[in-house]
Amino acid sequence: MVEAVKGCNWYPVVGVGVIPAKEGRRVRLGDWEAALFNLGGEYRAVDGRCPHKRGPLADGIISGRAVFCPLHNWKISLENGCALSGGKGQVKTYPVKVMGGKVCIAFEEGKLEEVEGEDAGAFAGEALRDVGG
Amino acid sequence: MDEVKHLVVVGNGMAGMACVDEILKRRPPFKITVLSEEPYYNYNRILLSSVLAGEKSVEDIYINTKEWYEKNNIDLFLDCKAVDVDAKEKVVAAADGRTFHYDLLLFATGSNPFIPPIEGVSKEGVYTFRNMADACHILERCKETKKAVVIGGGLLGLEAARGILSQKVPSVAVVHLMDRLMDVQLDEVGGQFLKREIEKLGIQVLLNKNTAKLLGNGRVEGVMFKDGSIIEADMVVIACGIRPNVELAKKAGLKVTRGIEVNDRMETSDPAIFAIGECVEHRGKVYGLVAPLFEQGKVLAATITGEKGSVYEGSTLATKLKVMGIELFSAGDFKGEGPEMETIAYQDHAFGVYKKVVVHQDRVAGTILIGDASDANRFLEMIRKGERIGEKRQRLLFDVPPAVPGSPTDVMSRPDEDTICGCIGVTKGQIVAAIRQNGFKSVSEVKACTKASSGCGTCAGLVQEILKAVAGTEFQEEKKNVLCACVPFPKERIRTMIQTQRLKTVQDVLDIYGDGMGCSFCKPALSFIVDEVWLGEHQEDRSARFINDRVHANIQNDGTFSVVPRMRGGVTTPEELRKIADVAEKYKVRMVKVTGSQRLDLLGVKKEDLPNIWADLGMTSGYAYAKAVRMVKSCVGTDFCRYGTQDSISTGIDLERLLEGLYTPAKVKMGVVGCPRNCAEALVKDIGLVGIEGGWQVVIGGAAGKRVRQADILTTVKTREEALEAAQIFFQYYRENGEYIERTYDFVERLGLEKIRRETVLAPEEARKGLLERLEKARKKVVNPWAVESKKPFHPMQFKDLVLPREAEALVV
Repeated sequence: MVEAVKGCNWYPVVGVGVIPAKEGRRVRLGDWEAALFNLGGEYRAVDGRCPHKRGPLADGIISGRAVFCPLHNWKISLENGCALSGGKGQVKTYPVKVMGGKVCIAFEEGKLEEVEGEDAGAFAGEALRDVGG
Repeated sequence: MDEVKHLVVVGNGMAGMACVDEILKRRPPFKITVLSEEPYYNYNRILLSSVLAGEKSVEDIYINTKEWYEKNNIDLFLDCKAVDVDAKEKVVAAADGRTFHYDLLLFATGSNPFIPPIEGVSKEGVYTFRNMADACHILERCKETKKAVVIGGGLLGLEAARGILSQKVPSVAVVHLMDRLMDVQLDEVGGQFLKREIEKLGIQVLLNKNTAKLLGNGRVEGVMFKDGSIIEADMVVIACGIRPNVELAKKAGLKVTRGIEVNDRMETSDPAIFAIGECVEHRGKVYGLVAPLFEQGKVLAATITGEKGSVYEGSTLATKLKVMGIELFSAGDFKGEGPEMETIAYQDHAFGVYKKVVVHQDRVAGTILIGDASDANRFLEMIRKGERIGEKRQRLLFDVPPAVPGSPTDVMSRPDEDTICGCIGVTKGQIVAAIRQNGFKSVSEVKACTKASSGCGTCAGLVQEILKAVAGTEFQEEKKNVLCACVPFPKERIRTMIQTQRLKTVQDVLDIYGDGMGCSFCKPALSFIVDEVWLGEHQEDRSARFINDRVHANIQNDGTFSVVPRMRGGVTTPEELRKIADVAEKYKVRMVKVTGSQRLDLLGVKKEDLPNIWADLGMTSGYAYAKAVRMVKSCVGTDFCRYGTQDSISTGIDLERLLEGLYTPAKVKMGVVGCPRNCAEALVKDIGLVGIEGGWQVVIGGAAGKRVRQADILTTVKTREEALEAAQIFFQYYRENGEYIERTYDFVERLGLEKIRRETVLAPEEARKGLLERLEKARKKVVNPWAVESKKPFHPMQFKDLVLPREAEALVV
């Protein structure tokens, strides 16, 4: 029934229909984040932050198969992650699939461990900042 | 030296002026005189249906203005009907008794509407639909019409019916003599597809109906058919086709059959007389469409200036239906019923798509496209060129993959010989060359030079894309600017279009008038406009709103939000301050800041905390994130100030209560000051009330932002009630007439203070009442989004991130 992508793990993220059509939501796993969009029945996922100044892409306005970053209006393709206007840059895209009524995102193999590692680091950073402040 | 010859042109329509334009390019030693029966400058007759549909104004469809005639030394006589020609003496006589001697005479008399011999056509309320006057009469009549019947289900009849429907006439029917609509351009299947599409618009379609007579005592009341049935009507439009206008040509003794006979050089039987357009018959054919006019015009211009050589060999008939929401194209031999004719067809009933290509001996002979006419020019080109299709046959219907939304559709990747403008026959290569040679920067320059998009105008978007690609950063938006490339209609027409077409969602506007997708500019713009037009009774689509309006907070540079509660007039209480302090601590708000608007800003709030913060605050949204009413700043006025002349605090609070929560074209900041010392800066606010001894000044269009501008005095009144009313009248006027993101300081300068005064405070009582009533209606729809959505968000997961548990297991590996 389900086609497995080699080297990928599919994570169920959210039920179909929870994200309103033509809107996006931020997906978080530890410190890592992605933006998941409902293009109207079809879903797309890219890295959560704009390559320009880290604007939250999930909060952007969708135009066809692209999203406009809410901070400085860069237009990012949801097909290949490339900046279509604003400047040069690219975000990572993730395979998305609907399985068993859930929208699933495929991370690369080992992502979970990697995330945990990053998370620990980020936590340490946070602690340091607190001391500094 | 040659004597200056006098060319008299009878007819000021598209054909005549297209030809004159071509003649002028050749710098002929002519004196040109144009006689126009209509009292208008040359206009685009094809677009009359757009005028009727409210998409364009009368001014929008002029092709040549007064300046053009003057610049080219053309003597134009408007309202001057030519009634006789003496070909021997070479004299044209006009109805008003004037006579014009000519050396060369050009007939561009066009055609007359065909009125079938039915009883009662002279009744009041019966119209033809052929010229500007017809369109204006029909528009006027629509206001009092309940039931309209259009006789004739051809191109013009359908466009008229759609136009009338747009004018809010409750019932519109089309009756047609034949068994299918547009029987001249469609086969049986196409007729069925079209009928469904027309009915979907809400237009009743009656086929096989032979009109017997029009009923009514003086005023038309109904239509009776030969089968005895009757349909009620208080307006009837006759659109039963056209007949070449050849009356004058006959008087001139020209050879006339159906039309004025011309040869391949566009010469008539009289060597001094030429003819062009719908009034001519060429090789036995009479054309009623625009493309042949331009082809004929080029040849005729060559002939008449003595450069004989180019010949006109007839045109491929091609028709596009200009009814918003319906794509229809038909060209060439679309029936495919003759010997060796083969048909390739595709039908999708659910989507209303019908594509048919007729192939004759390996060449495309004709086509019908309904529901998706994006291939129209491709097929038209194949028909015109008559090239063999060979292997292309297998993917003939779907050669070009459908445009991927979001990716730039690349018109530049098309070959140079591809036709962009099907009406005039302009190729991509010609457009690119014109842009490069002349350094064009705007679409209007390209249009003026190449004529591309000057016919039906549907290719304007493609022309703009080419220009953008070639001109790059030099590209300039049109002065009369359109809303957006996604919705390429002039800003001032958008409201009318939304109103007349009864569009209640942003997506409807995008689907019908735009590219179906929209962008970060036009989606919020249209959100505002549909909201404003329907006074809050639109269908809200949050996905078309900017994030701030989805979550009622202002997004900051790190993706967090700021929260500004309403603090009317800049007045607060210890209790409010305590709540704000508690919230700031509880949610670890990064900063609490006093804003320039006399209120407090909680900065650095996480999206997911917003609903809880609102619940804890229990205050009203300050709309500090929206293109809406922001605040009213006030000074302490007579309450405390020893210089105060008016009670600015309570007036400021009242003004804020009257207007808060309403969306506006751009943010609206207000101020009320108790004396002209202007402590609360009312003189640099969008709307300001300035207390003076014994009264108030109401000022508008002030700014202390990107621009600094002192406000203009709208009016001076005695009481605070009058002041509040004047402010509200102007406020609603700005909501209705301001362009999206146009601040009042630009708005006031664009319209001019006098006009604004005339249409607001100095307007007739009814107009002022109307503005106040619409404001009241919109006000009733206002809710405090914080109160509502802290309990029940618009979408259940509006404020939540999707957090995956650490141990998120792979569903499938």
